[in-house]
Amino acid sequence: MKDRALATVLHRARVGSMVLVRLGVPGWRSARPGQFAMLQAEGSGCFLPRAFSVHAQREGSSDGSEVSFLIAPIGAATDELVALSPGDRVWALGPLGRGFDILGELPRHGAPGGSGRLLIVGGGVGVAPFVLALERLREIAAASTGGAHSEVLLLFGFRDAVQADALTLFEPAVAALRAEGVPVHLEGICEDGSLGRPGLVTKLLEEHARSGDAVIACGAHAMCEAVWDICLRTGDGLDAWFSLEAGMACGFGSCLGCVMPMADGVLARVCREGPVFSGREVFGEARHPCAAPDAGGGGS
Amino acid sequence: MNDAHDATVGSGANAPSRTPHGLATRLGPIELSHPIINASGTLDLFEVAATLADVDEAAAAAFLADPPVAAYVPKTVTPHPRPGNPPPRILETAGGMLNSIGLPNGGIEAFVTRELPRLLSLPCPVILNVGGFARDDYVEVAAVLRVALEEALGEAHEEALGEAHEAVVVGASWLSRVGLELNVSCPNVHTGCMSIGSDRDETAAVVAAVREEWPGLLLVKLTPNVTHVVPIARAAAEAGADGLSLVNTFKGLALDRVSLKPYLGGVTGGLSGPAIKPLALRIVYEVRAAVDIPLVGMGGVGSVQDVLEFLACGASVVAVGASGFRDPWKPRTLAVELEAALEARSMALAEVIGMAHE
Ligand SMILES: Cc1cc2nc3c(=O)[nH]c(=O)nc-3n(C[C@H](O)[C@H](O)[C@H](O)COP(=O)(O)OP(=O)(O)OC[C@H]3O[C@@H](n4cnc5c(N)ncnc54)[C@H](O)[C@@H]3O)c2cc1C
Ligand SMILES: Cc1cc2nc3c(=O)[nH]c(=O)nc-3n(C[C@H](O)[C@H](O)[C@H](O)COP(=O)(O)O)c2cc1C
Ligand code: FES
Repeated sequence: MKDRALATVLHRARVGSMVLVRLGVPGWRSARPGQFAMLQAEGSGCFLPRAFSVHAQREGSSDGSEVSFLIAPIGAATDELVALSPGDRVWALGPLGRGFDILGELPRHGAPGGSGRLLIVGGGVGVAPFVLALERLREIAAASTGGAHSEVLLLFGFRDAVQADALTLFEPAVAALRAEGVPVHLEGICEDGSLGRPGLVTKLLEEHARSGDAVIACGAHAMCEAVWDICLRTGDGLDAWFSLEAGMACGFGSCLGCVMPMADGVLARVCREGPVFSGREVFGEARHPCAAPDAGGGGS
Repeated sequence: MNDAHDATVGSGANAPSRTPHGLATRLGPIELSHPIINASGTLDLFEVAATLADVDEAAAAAFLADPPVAAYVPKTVTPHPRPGNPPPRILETAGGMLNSIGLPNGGIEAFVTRELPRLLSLPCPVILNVGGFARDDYVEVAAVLRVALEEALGEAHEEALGEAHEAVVVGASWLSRVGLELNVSCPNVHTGCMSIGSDRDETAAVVAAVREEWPGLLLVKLTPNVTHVVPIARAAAEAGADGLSLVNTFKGLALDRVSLKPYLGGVTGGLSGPAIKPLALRIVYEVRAAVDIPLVGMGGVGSVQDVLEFLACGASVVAVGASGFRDPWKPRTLAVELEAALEARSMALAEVIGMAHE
């Protein structure tokens, strides 16, 4: 966070059931994947801003950076944001929180103890942060030191074909990462079977997870629990990080409203200690009793 | 709820960072550069600074060197550590929000070792907010704080100790830098606190007992969740309070849309934000008419118009609560706007205070 900025809507595009909103944000400081911003339409009828993951960003000209958000309309504030037109203004505070900061540190190709495969699991609008993650992986690969991931798998779950339109958002970033020589596999699944067989994203993960991989995930809480359960069942060394959601009033550690219980019982603030937590931190080592393989999936 | 001023006045680094002139005022022995402070539990200066530091260390240092409040009120501290209420803790409701935070804090011991030093390093006065569940809790915390402050900043002035708040020599000791606010009004804990503040005699007893221990500014933060605030306000003033903070949140309930069961982890919550402004204004207005000590007004303050209205009803200091969640620089912005609003009316701050009663 630098300060609260009045951003301008540069572009708005419907992507299936979601809307991609690109803002020109004065004074924006580059976000790390998984970080979020608090957004509120100017003149909003809502009292508080809402949290949104940074979807993509392009470093600034003199009038600021271009920062995109993928928004699923589910209530008053998101309805307002998806109805904005170019030229409309939005209050933006960010970037905030701890992102998938482990990306640069994960075992890569040939590293001891790791296969170097990275699995990216998203459900519904939970795919939002992963364009920025791919961009970061491309930077890591381009910087050559430390090598690249031997493979990146994007496993995304959606409710239906309309929601699955979000897959198209990933094509440029996938191509760019491939151009750096990293094999990338992008696969989607829909609950209603409109992309082939019906199922939840955890079905894809079951098929692809191998010991030594690393997982980063974002989606409904039940999906995250089910993903962690698969990690535990797959055996030692399959580590995972999750971007979690909680209702937030401030986004900067002042209200103590966004807490979530960690595995050790301590309440952590999703806005400051998170939103990205390791599986061990949030779910612990024991398998969750309700995390049957089909407990979570697409949805938002 | 985004007030019109949001559109024209920038915030943060864009906001005018100069200190507004002509707004200097005081709360008992504490001088304030302007009359806008924060409401307890709604702004954590150090968390804002830490968030700023993630991208810009210099901005974080600058923020703490020139905080956006005339005095800083940290979150309530209680005698013992508390984890707070289970989530979910907050929910937006029409024109505001419900919270059921439940006073999580590390307890007074940790507060003295970890929080107090950095609070005393702030360039502005601080008003420490204390909560409890029985009379002795407040007395104990006040006593611990006094000892810690005397150790850190030297003994309070002789005369000041002798004659309580009357003979304080401003600037002579920590009495001009540190005040106390008794939270006898939190609706989110199930024993003590609000039940003390809902009872006239209990309130008077707590205030009188703390008065014995605490030589500095003593504010009492009252609950609006009673039929008549005025008798409690009067009792607090008579027991030795230097000022009253009006008001804490209104106890409310929200249901889960689907299950139709209580939504918040703490079941009930406290309502704040624009929805409560008319209720809070009414209470400030009634108390001003009946009690002659300074009032800190709060409840839904988000615009300079709100500030003017609380002042006119009789508050001499105004606190920004939940509106600061969307903009931590809000108090500073409002102070700058207040200066312009007074200039436009050709009025001094003191002339506006209480003018609704004339
Ligand atoms: C770190 C983080 C990142 C996020 N990133 C994104 C993103 O990239 N894209 C995106 O679209 N969203 C994202 N979200 C979620 C987004 O913040 C919410 O969708 C948004 O707050 C919804 O606001 P609203 O006013 O539209 O809906 P609201 O009406 O506020 O509803 C919000 C949620 O609360 C529930 N709720 C509200 N009131 C009640 C009630 N009375 N009973 C039961 N349930 C209730 C709703 O069912 C819904 O799930 C993110 C959240 C977090 C914390
Ligand atoms: C999330 C939240 C936490 C709060 N925590 C405290 C607290 O710890 N101690 C206290 O005295 N008041 C607390 N309050 C009450 C506020 O200080 C203030 O009295 C109330 O919110 C009304 O002002 P507002 O409408 O501007 O928010 C809290 C309010 C909110 C919204
Ligand atoms: S959202 Fe306010 S503390 Fe996390």
